[in-house]
Amino acid sequence: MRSCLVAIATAVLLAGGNALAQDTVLSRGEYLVHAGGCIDCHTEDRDGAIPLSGGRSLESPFGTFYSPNITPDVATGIGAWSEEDFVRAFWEGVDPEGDHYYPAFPYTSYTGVTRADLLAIKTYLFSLEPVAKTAPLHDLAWYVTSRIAAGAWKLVYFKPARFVAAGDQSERWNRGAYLVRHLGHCGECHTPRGILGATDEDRELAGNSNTPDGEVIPNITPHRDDGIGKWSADDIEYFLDTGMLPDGDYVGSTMSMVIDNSTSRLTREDRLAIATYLKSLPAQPTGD
Amino acid sequence: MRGTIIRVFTVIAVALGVATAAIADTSPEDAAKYRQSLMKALSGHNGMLSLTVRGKAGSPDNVASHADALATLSAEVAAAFEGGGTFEDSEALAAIWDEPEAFAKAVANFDAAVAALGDVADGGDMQAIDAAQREIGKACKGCHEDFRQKDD
Repeated sequence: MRSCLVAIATAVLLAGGNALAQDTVLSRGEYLVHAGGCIDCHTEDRDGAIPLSGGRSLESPFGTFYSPNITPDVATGIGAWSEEDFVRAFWEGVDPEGDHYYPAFPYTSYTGVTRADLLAIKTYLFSLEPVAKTAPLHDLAWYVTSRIAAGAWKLVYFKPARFVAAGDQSERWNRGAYLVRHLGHCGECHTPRGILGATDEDRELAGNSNTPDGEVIPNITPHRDDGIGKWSADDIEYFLDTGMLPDGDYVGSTMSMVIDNSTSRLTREDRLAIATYLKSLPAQPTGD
Repeated sequence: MRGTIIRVFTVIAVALGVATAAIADTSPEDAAKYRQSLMKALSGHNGMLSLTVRGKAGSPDNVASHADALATLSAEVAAAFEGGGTFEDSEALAAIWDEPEAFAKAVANFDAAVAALGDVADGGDMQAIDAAQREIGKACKGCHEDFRQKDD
């Protein structure tokens, strides 16, 4: 009898422990979904849209992309994906059939994200209610309608590589670099792009005025006149939390959505890490 | 009799003239400058308040006066956009005048957030003041998102 009780108690404890571990991964996954900005692109831009069910349009010089449904619906979402499928999408920019993704899906940045983080994200996404919804087909210029074009582009511009911490930098700086360059993919908007759409890494985060919808994406290097060199790390952290610029004005651009869905959901420590990394960049003037 | 009629019409004409002068004399450019100054005044007080609440600069004794200033200025916002229209140096979007109900709702959100700050501004509870100010920020951000040009 006694051993039976012990066995039951042990089983309950183990089950509880597993549930706890699962909860931790789940909430970490949710946190990372916010940090990764998944909701911004994978949710339609209209009231009442179901988060992460796709269909948002993304204008580019090559046409309009429509984000896919990433809820766990088997037929129309990612419900049939294995862990390997999921990781490969981020690390290599290919779908489960091996077709190339257009870099509208920012695997160019996400390639640096750790496997553990990706699997936590997958756990969270798979905990959501499946939504049956298919996004419209991309509406692209004729010369990029084939996925082979995306493959050719990747050969030239895409280097799959995990983030490697810099030994001569602080833990906070490295965390910031990971968030800015990879998970948060800030450079996808804030770094200028060349004629074939690749980001110019020599001008990391120096702003982009050549956007299809005419929105000028600001320079966020520490350049005092063109960038945010006059902002303290605290100013940056507070901005990422509230959207307030140091002069008391409030941002109202696409960044406002990023703040609502992503940066304001992060810990203060992570926002300070982002600020630390941004402050360490070379100050660059804004280009044309 | 005829003289009376002329005098009556003159009085009416003058009265109409005076009544319309306030609107007719404001050019779209001046209306925009007024709005821009109003927004700068709002952001000025808000920026001072933020530095104070975060303990970086300014005196907590001045929190209430910033809250009062925000309340006074916010009362002008709706009127400042009446009858206006965009012009090339303005960041105001046509949606302000094309969707008056949505704009009025955004302004009402802002007014409510400013009033809520007024409720806690005197109490010296910095956490409550901080929370109230963040709500004001959300109202500002929400309105700028829909009604201000995206170029910042």
